[in-house]
Amino acid sequence: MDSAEKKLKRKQSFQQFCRVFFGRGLIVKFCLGVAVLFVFVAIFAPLLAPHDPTEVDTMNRYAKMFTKGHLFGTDKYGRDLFSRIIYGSRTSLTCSLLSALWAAIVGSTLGIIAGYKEGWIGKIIMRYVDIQLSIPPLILSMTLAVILGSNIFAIAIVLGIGAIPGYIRMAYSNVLSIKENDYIVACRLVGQKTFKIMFKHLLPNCFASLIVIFTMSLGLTIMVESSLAYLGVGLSEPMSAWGLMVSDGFGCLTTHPNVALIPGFCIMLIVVSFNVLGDGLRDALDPKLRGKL
Amino acid sequence: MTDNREILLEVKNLKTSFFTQAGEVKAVDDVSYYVKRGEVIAVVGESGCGKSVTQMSVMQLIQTPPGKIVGGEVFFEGKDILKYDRFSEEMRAIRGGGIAMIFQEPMTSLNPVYKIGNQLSEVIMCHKGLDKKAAWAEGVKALAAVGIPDPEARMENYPFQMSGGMRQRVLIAIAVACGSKLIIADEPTTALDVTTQAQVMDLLKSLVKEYGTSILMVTHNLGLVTRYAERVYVMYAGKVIESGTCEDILMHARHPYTMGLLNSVPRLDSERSQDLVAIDGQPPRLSELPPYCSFFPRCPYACEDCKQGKPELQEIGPNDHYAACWRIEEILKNAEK
Amino acid sequence: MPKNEKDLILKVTDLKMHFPIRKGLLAKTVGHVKAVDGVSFEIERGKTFGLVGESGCGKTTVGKCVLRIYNPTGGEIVYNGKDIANYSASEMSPIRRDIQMIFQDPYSSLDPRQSLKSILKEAIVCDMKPHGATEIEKRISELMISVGLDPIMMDRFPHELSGGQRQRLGIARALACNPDLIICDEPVSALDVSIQAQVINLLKNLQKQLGLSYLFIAHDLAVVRNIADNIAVMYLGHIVETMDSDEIYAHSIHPYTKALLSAVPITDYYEEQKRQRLPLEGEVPSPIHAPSGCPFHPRCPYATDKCKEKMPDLTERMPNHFVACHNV
Repeated sequence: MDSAEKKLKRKQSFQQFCRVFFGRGLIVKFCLGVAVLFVFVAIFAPLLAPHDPTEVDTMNRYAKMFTKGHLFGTDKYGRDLFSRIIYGSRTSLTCSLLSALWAAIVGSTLGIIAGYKEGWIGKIIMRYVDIQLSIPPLILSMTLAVILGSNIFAIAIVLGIGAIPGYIRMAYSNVLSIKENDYIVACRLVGQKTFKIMFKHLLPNCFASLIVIFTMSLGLTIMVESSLAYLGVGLSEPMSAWGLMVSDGFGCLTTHPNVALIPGFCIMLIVVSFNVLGDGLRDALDPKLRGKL
Repeated sequence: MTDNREILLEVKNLKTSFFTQAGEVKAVDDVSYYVKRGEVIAVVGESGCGKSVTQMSVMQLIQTPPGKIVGGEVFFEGKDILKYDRFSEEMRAIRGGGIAMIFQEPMTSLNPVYKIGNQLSEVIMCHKGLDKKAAWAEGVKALAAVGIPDPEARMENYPFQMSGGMRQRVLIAIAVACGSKLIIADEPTTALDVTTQAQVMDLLKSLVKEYGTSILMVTHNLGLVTRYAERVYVMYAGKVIESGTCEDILMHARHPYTMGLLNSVPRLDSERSQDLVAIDGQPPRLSELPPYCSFFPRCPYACEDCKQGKPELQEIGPNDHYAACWRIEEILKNAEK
Repeated sequence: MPKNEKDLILKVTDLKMHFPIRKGLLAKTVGHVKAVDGVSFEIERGKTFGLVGESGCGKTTVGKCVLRIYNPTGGEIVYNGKDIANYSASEMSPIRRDIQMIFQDPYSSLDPRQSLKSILKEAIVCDMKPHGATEIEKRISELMISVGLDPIMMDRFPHELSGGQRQRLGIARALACNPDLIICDEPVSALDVSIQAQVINLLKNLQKQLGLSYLFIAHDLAVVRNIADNIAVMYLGHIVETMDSDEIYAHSIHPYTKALLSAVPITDYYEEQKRQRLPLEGEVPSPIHAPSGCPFHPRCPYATDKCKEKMPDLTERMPNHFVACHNV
C-alpha cells in the first residue's frame, strides 16, 4: 500500500477518533481546555506566579480576595494564595498523575495475570489484595509515608500503592469474563503467545472499566494527599499543594472561606475535567462507537 | 371445510418505527394478520425481520423512546386495544389475562430470587383477585396441568433448580392459570433441545384442544411450523410478504423469498449428495431499506420492473393465500406448468 | 471395507473426560462429572464425521479434548499416527496449528477491538516464520476471497458484519493456519436459515478444494446429515449409534436415535402429517448422577433389567453400522 493511502487512512481514523471524543458536546471541549490550562500553568509556574509562594508577609495576613497584588488574597502567614495555587498545581498534578499511572500499570498487569493464570500466581496476587484491603488505608499510607519520606515521588508511590487493589480487582473480574470468549481460545489455537493474548486481547477489552477507575483515582489521590498532609506525614509546609492548602484553610473556613475554597474549587475542576476526558477517551477507543455516525 | 371460528385478535396495518440518530427505522411496516379462537398460527422470518417487534407492539411493550407505534389498529375480542394507554389498567388486564407471552430465554423470564410458587401465585392473585392461599392452590393445579411432576414440591423450587424445559412449562402454566385466551410464543423452543422442544410444543398444542386457547408462535424453524401451525405469515424486512395455510406455504410457496427459504433448509429425508440452495447475500439492515421491494438485492427473479415501488399483498389462491411480489403472475404461470 | 491406518487422520479410542467436583475449604474431590465416558471413533482424511446429541451429552467436550484444550482423563487420541492425548504443551506446539476450530457463537469468537485485517494477520503471523508485509496482505486477501468476503472490508470491525459474515471470518481465521482437521462446533446453529445454507455450502466447497477433514459437532440432525459422511449419536457421554449418514433417516436402530429423529419435524407438509411420533418422556439426567448400565434406560420404552445393570457395547449390526443396545 502506498504511503499516500496510508496517510489518508490515518487521517480518517484520527477524524473518527475526534468525532467520538468530542461527541458529548461543549463540555468535553471545556474540560480539555481546563486540563490543558492547568498543565500549562504547572509547567510555567515560575513565569506566571506574581509572588514567591513561600514568601511570608506577616503584615498582610488573611488579605481579602481581589486586594491589590493578591488576586485570591493571602493565608495565615500572609503568603499570596494565587501564587500558591499556581505552584500547587505542579505538586498536585505530578503527584496524582504519577501515582495514578503507576498504580494503573502495576495494578492492571497484576490483575490480568491473576485473572488469566488462575493457578498459584493468581491466588497469591488475589490474597495480597485481600490482605492490603484488610488494613485501614490511611494507616497503611501513613506508615509507608513515614518509611519512604515526604518528597513528591515518595508520596506518589505511597498514594499509588493505595490505589493498586482497585485496579487488580477490576482487571481480574473483567478478565475472568473476557477469557471465556471464544476468541481467546481461537488465539491459543493459532499459537499466539500468552503474553500477547494478555496485552493484545485482554487489556484492550477491559480498558473501558479501567479508565473509569483511573479518572476516579486522579481525584481521590489529591484528597488522600491532603489528609496525609493534615496528619503531618505527607507533603509538608512550606511546599504548596492543593490538598495541603485545603486542610490548612479548613480551620478558618467560617472567617476566611477563600483560603480553603479556592484550592478546593481547583481540585473539583480538575477532577471533573479528568472524568469527562476519561469518558471521552473510553468511547473513542471503542471501535463500536467509533464506527457509528 | 368452512371455518366458522370467531376472530380473536386482528391486527390491521400496524406500523412501528424506531427513531434513532440515523433516522426512522421502520421495524414493522403495515402488517396485518388475524388469529381465530383455537387456532395455531405462525409468524416466520429471519432475525431482524420485525416478527418479534410486531408482537411486542400488540402487547404495547415497545420501549418508548426510541420505539413508537405510529399507526394501525389491534382488535382483541372486538376492542381496539391500541387505544388504551400502555400503563392503563385495561392494558394490564389484557397482558397475562387475555394475552400471555412466552419468551425465548426461559432463564431470564423468571426472577431468580423468588420461588416458582411465589411468582405463580402473585400473577394469579393479580389477575383473578384470589387470596394468597387460594392462588397457591390454583398454581399447583396449573403446574399439574402443564405436566410438571410433583407440582406441590416444585412450587417451593427456585428457577435455577429447574431445567430449561421445566421453566418454559412454568411460563405456560402462568398463562393457563390466568385463563389467557391467546398465547404469543416468541421463539419458545429455540433455547431447548429437540426432544424437549417436542415436549413443550406438544403441550402447547394440547392447550388448544383442551381450553380452546389460540397460539401465535413466532419462529424461524420451518419444521415446527409444518408440524404445529394451521396458518403461516412469512415476514421479511418489516413486511408480511406471503401468507396462507400451512399446506399452501410449505408445499405451494409462490413468493421467491419463501421458496428460497424452503430450499435452504437441510432436510432429513432428501438425497444427501445434493447441495443446499442458499439465498445469496445478507439479510437487509432495516435502517437501509430501498424504496422498492426489500428482497430485490437477493431475489433470483429480480428485474428492472421490480423497482417500481413496494409490492402490495394480493390474493393468489383460495384459502386466503396472499403474496407480495411484482412478478407473481409469471411465477404462478410457471408453477402451473 | 478394510481400512489401513494410513488414511485415518484421527482415531479416538476409549476417550474419557471426567471433571472433578470439588467442595469445601480444601477443595476436596467429592465426585466426578463423567462428561465423556469411553468414546471411540475414526475420521478418514478428507471426510466429515458428524457428532450429534442434545446439550450436555459431551459432544463439545470431545471436540475440546481433540484440540487438547482439555487434558483427557483417559484414552487415546491418535492424530496422523501419533497419540497426542498426553502431549505436553511444548510437544503440542508443532501440531497446534494443524487442528483448528470453528465456533458456535459468531459474536464471542471475534475480538471486538480488532479489525478483520488484524484478526487474520494474527493467525497468519503466529507460525513464527518470517513474513513480508506485502505477502501477509496478499494472503489476507486470498483468505477473505476464499470464504466469500470482499477484501475491501479488511479495515472494518466485527460489529459491522452480519452473523453470517462473522462466521465466514471465523472460517478464514481457521484456514489461515493451513489446518488438516477442523473441529466445527455448532458452526451454523446461531445463524438464520438462509445463511445456514450458505455456510454449509462454503464448508463443503472448502473441503473439496483443500482436502480438509471435519469433526462436525451439532444438535441439528438435518444439518449434520447434510454435511457429514458418518454420524455418531451421543447420549450422556457415550456414543449409542454410528452409521453412514444416508442410513440415519430410514435405517436407524437405537431407540434414542429414533426418538431424536421423530422429534425433528420435517418441512414436507404431507410427509410430516404421515410420520409416526415416538414421544420421549422426561429429561436428560445430569451427568453427575448418570444412571447405571445403559444411560438411556430410564427413558427407553424397551428397557429391561439387563439394561439397568450392564452398559451395552457398540456392536456392528449392519455393515459400518454400530449400535449400543441390548434389545436390537
